[in-house]
Amino acid sequence: MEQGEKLRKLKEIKRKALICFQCGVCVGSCPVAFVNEKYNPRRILRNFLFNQSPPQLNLSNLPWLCLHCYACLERCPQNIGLSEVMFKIQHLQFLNGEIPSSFLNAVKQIIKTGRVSPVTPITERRREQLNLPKIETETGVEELKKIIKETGLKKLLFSQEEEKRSG
Amino acid sequence: MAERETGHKYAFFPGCLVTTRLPYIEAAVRKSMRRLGAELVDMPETTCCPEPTLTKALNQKTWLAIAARNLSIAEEIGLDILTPCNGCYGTFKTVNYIIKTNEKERVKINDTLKKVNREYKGKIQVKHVVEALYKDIGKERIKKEIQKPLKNIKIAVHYGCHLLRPSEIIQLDDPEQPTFLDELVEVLGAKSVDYERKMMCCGGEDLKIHPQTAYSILKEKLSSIKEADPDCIVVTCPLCMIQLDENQALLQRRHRQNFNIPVFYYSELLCLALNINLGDQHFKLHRIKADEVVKKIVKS
Ligand code: SF4
Ligand code: SF4
Repeated sequence: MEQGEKLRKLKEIKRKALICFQCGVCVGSCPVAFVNEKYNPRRILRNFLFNQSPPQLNLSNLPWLCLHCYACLERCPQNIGLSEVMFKIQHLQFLNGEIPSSFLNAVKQIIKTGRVSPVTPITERRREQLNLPKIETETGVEELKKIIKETGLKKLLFSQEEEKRSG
Repeated sequence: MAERETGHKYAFFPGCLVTTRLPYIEAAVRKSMRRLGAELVDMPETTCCPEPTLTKALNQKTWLAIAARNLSIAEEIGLDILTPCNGCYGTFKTVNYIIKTNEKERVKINDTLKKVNREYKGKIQVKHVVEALYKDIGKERIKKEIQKPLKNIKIAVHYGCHLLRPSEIIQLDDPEQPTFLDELVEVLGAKSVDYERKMMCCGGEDLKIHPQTAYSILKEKLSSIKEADPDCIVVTCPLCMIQLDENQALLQRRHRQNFNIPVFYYSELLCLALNINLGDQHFKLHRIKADEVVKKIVKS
């Protein structure tokens, strides 16, 4: 991914964050912040307001802790749509290679099998016990793979791995 | 568009977690819907919805197109799509909303779908199982069919996030103080009990990245539920089920937390109230023993 594209995305996040008046309503609504004081959505936004476009975000894994529960989105008095902004921050982190490997593996699982969770012999036995229809062979997967390629995710995943190797 | 004279008919999308990990939910949904006169048509060639957080973070365009592809399959069958999973529901509702309201996006998404010889026009609606029960089938109909009312059963209702939020898109109930699921529980004859952290997320999404956070949220949630002293918890989502049932059991084993609160998917309780036999094996698949509550209902 070109640096210019990343900067454009960074600016977009900053523009959204600009009207955040740091009231903390999001923090007060956030289940993650409630149990883990390291995670503070208000502070994550503030960093975007003050920092000049860094080549690496170095936000650590924190933004990935967002559950996307949308509690903050419902309550933010500035209607910033924080959980949506968090998606954009995560996306930028992904472009920078700052993504937890467990997440990468989960996405690879979807690409490979078309599902988030595999069909195991236990699955099949249970379904039989419960008189449920057999799971059809993964006929949709080929189309899914094509979509992943067409929409550029395949390329992003590839360059992300390159980045990890060289960095 | 789904309503016909004979009853309600839907394109059924159980989703990955229900299909592979919690098929007992699928069994309860199929049986109770059939009893209530709703027909579920299986969808061929579907894939992960895709799940509402990760794929979207990595590449929004991919997330939109894969979801639209699944929706196009229901549209081809000519039926609204029905899912028992809050995650699939959130994805489909949001993507459907974008396609119906944003012409530019619709064109872009369909440009991608063309590559796999599909098109999604945005003609169908997305429904959650409990939404269909509340809005299409209705409380009156359910009430009429009840054979074993859940008398003296106290239930802690957990809505789950994506069933309600973002409310601007979902538009199912008030995002802060919803009532429809409580009503559905009370129609069965049970009592819905209030608890402090009712609207708190189950935390399940953090299991992959920071289990400690996921478990802390779960503990918070369960402690609050325990205070209300219910017979059981009711959920409408397989991920909430995994978190509240399976991981509750894990908390008990590993951290000696003794909550011991059975968890049911709504349709399971519905089956019990409708006197539908789910088989001897069914409730054994729950991690927190549900036998006592089940016995209490069946014996009534
Ligand atoms: S609630 Fe909105 S305005 Fe207030 S700190 Fe959070 S994001 Fe900023
Ligand atoms: S969406 Fe994310 S930041 Fe917002 S309240 Fe939920 S977990 Fe916190």
